[in-house]
Amino acid sequence: MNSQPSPILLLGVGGAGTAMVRGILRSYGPGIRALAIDTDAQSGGTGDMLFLLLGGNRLAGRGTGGQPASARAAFQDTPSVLDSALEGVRTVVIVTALGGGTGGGATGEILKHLHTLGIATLVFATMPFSFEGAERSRTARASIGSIEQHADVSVFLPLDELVAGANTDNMRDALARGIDTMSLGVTLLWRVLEKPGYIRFDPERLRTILSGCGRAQFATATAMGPNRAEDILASLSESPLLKQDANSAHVRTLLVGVLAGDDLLLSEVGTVASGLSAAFGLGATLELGTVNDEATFSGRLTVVVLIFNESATATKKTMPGTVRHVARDRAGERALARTDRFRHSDATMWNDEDLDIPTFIRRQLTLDR
Amino acid sequence: MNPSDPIAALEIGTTRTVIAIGEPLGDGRMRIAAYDSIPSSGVRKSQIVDVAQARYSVASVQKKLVTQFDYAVSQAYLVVSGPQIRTDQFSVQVQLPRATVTDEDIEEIGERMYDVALPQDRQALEIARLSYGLDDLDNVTSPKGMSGHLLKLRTLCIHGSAQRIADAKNAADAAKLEILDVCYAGTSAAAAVLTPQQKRDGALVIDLGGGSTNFTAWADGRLLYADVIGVGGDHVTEDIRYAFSISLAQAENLKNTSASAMIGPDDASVRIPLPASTPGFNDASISLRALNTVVNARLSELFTIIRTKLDEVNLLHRLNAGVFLTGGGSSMKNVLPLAANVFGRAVSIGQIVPEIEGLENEANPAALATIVGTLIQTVPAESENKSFMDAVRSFFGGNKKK
Repeated sequence: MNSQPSPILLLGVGGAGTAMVRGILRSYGPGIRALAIDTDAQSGGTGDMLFLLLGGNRLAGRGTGGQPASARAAFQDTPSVLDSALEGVRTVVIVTALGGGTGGGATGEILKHLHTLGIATLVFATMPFSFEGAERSRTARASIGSIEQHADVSVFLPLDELVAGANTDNMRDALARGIDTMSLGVTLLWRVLEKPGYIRFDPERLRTILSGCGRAQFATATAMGPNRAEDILASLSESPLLKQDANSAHVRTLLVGVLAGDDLLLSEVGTVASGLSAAFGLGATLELGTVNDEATFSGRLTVVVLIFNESATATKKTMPGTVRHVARDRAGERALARTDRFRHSDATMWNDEDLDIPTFIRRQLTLDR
Repeated sequence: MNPSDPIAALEIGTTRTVIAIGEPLGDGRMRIAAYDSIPSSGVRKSQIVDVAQARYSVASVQKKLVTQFDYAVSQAYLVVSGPQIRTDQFSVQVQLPRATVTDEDIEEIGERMYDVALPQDRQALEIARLSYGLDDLDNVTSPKGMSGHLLKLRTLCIHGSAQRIADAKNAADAAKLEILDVCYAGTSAAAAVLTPQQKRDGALVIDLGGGSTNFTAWADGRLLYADVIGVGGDHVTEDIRYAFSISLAQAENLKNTSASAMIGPDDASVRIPLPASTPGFNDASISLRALNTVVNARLSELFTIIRTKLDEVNLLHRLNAGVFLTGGGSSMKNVLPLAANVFGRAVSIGQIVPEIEGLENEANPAALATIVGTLIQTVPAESENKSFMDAVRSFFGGNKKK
């Protein structure tokens, strides 16, 4: 076992993000390097995890009152607040909830700071329930732009869909189910890196996969019994979480975790891999890891999928120290199109598209000659 | 400053740098006494990237105003735009000492609305009242006389990057032009073209600038939404240049003389000659359909983004007075029917409000909306101009920042 501190840090931002980290640590057990940051001193409460208070001078530990701008300002006051907790960290996985103040306001600023430190970032952000109202939804959507701009990978999970099918559960159980679902996605990275398995990743390979991938989708399914691999493929095909933007981009990479006990069959891994490849296009790269965890998954097969779409522009900023020329490699013409008049300007992004690239190129319109 | 003294406004735009001078006439009227411009240098996407070049542009316009109109401009209001502009909603609240809302309570909360917690690198440009709340009751239009314990006010704050605004001020300072205050181009454009009735009925003003597009939505007499997209006429020119591998000057000329925002049924049969820009090269021609495809794609996308943003905040259905286009891009051929298709609303070129005189000979006054609107907003509130300022204050619901 490696005695070095983990190169992956789980970071909860805001009150809900702090609660999510707590839930994830409870369900995963020891082994995750975790930290939470919030403007409300009460979030740190029980002292069961490392907690940083954000905006102490400005907000006096009383939270933002639901105002993202206050959280943004608080982090900008002291952007180095996280630095002492980042020693040896190469990848940060952020969990947060959008729609309130701290998660929506501070996350983009934190990501910007981490980017300057050359740290890869993956964000899981929940979007409010529809019953929480248009205002909260609007506030949440307003935060997406800054997160997408600075995160290497961002996954937005509407709570409505995260707890889909839980209509008959009481509120507490439904939310717990939602947190469990998200935990599987969030902890996938730790599992494929640090749990025993037949196919494993090394941290740098994972970091390279994540670098500058843009918006991702996420789904998970669990099944038991002799046809559990086939059942999982059927469940994934119906997952509401995979229906977002389904037609807006081509799938570029699938990061798949196959989690099982000692009874995992080689044929089951093959069924899952070939089924996902067929479903998402044979051109997509499949990065698959298996985790052998008899204590947790005895008799069960769980598959967790992170799906990285090929953005229309592929001009997302890359991390310092990584070599990625996705735009040139995959769409040289698009890359060249941005290199002239607007080359020295910040990109104007909208829904993952770089608007500085001529529209007719992004839409692949044919021009009469 | 004497209420009848001339007032100047400066815009360092992506395409051109403009200074306009307005003379308050009293009775709510103003005469645009002079205005002039030169093509800008050192500006991209409405943001200064070379202060020395921008200073030169400002100084050159000042010189033109002296030689052609005998106006030496040493102070001006600055109008700013660009993707550095953002908006945030804030809320403030006051406890009601008498359990009934009084004028004093409304005045107090009106003072508190300026205490916004912006990051140090942001500068407030406008703060508008959105709606009141009283205890658990939201969207109260006029709370005076209502019973309750806690009065709340939701506000919209338009703010810009302090550094980018400082860049523009520095360019003006270097040209010995003192900046008195800073205005946001979107609300300035609306001030120039919207009547109080149109604000009440619901209107969208889209200012199609060279480097960015500013838009504001109004209803119930209030500013309800403001936003900026870092896409403007420069993008249209650049798309044309890229599509046909021609010079920027050729692309600009094609945009202004031949291009249409809509693709016509006969466009495929028309070819546009392109004289060689360099001696020794052959003349060429391009398809009108190809040209219009490039322009249509860009402008359709721009309007669709605006529509999507308004849809998200449930404002599209409230634009009963219609959509008004201003800025240089408003003169693009067939831009009105394209916008009407996208928004499903009546669309027209913004007409400068009748209180403004002096633009009768201007071919496209809507192109001057931002700078004229800035002058309108900055007329001093002296007694002889009371009716004019009343109109201005009414326009903004008292929301010009302190």
